Amino acid sequence: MDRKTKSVSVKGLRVSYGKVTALQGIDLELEPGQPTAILGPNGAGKTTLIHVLTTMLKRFEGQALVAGMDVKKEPIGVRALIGLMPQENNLYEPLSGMDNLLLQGALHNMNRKASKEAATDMLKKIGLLEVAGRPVSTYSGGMKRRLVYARAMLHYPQMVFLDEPTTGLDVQSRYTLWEDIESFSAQNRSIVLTTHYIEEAERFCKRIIVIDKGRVIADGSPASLKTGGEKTLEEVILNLTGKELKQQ
Amino acid sequence: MRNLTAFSGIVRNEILMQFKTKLFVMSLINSVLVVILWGYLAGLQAQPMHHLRIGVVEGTTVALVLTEAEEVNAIVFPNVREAEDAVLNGEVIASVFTPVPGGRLRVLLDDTQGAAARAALSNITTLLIKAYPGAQNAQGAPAAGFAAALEIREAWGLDMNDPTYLLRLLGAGLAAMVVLSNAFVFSGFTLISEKTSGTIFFLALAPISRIWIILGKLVANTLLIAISTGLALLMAIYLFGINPTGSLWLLMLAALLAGLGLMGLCYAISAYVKDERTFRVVAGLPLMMPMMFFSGIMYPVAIFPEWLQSVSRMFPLTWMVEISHFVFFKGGTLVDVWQPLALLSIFATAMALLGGFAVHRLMRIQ
Repeated sequence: MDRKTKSVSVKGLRVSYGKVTALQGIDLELEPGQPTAILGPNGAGKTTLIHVLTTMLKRFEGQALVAGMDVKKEPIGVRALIGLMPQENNLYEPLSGMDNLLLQGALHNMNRKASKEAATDMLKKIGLLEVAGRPVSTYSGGMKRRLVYARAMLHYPQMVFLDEPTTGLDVQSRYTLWEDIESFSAQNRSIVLTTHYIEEAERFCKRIIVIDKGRVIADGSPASLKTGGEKTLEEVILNLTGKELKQQ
Repeated sequence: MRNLTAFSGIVRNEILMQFKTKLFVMSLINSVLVVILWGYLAGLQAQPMHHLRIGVVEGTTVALVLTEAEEVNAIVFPNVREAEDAVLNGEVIASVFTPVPGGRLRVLLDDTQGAAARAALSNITTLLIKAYPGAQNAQGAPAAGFAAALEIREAWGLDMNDPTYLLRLLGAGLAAMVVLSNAFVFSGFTLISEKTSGTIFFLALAPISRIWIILGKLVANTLLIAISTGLALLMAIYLFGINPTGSLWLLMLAALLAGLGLMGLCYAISAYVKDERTFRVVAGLPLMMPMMFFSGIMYPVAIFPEWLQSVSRMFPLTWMVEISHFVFFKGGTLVDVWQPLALLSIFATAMALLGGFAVHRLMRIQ
């Protein structure tokens, strides 16, 4: 992805599930290499946006480009460039951690040797190398989460979407993951993430986009969003989206 | 008191769970269906099988006796040759005729039909004993002269008096049972597990056409079916004692086609149902069980009444069992089995396309 091409370009994006409108005409442009967090309450439309950008959802109005490619017209090209860490730990539980990663390598046209090297490297980085041969079903929730992260990163994607990447992780694991995410971003590769750990988004992301009820209600750097004298980004979000609990 | 409150909570929760997950209703339906199907089949075997088709030759005394009798369903053929051929091609279960003028009365039996063949022989001898004066002794049993005048021949030489006879017939259906079971497990249950764990959506994110993903699944599972079928054939030969007289490759081909078709069907169903329980209700009860009972795997199709035979003839596994009988017992070649093989090919193609389409659609939706 060259520096002139926007990593994400979205125009008039609308998504409806029956009578429920998940996204109501979103316009967005993301720069390559700019770590971006999409924040908002549950059901705001964050995951729906990620599903559109990762070609998982095709029923939408408007236009969505990833690295200059139309997600509807060139889904395979888009998928080759991206990595996705979904909210769920969608792993093949009877298989080993290594086998799960080798499959990802094969799906991304990596030969067995390259897959194995990349998998070993990633497993070492996330502290799962010693248990790489064990079935995933024997892993703890945190270990599975780390493995899902490793799988998303295995094929050196140009852009990665991380949906709640650190949920369920202990402090050490979160630290390790963020370290890796930062080094990924330093290589001018793009990161889009959603998280409920707002302090993490504030610390690691250069751009924050707040979505509520399917609309972008705030967009800017963490500092630029604190226009009302708020001390933390959490206060900003609460002021923008309200403090009352919402139905999804 | 505290324990009692907790206890009543657990009781309420357990009952609610069984109802909400439909397990209560499912278990009930399951039991009723099993009892009805097994009971029906047991009843069929216990009843006199008057519907069994017996061939006779026009203008003979035997034809006169059998066509007038209610105990058999006599089909009249113009000559001995056609009456014999009717047994060989499965049109009738037995034919009764005199091969040469003045010769012994011959009963030619389709011995691949197990209990039905035995019942047919019993029906025929009973009728003949009644019809011919002096054919029975004082105790009502066949007189020595009658037994000598009757020549019983098995069309395929399976030796119906051998203790392993019925076991060998079961062995011939083993591969079909393996295919049925494999298709349900490998495609239906696995796809549902992929849906619930979300791995199907992980696959959907691969930068390849989804057709390759579907093909990969079908090819892998077809390969597993081939291995299972191979093992089933070995068991049929070495455990059930069958000596195959035709080409086992034909049966392997039939198994792969049946397996592919059934997998496609199971993919199509499991792509639309919510969970494994619903799959069991939708696919297991109305599809798997009837095929298991009425395809000729465990019971010969000939014992069923005509209407059920018509239903059975629509099951792909019935076509496979037919091929299996040809290969194991009748020295079948491609010429003999091209019809069921063609039907299986059509079924496999149609269902693989249907299943592929359903999985393709599933990977798009979230």
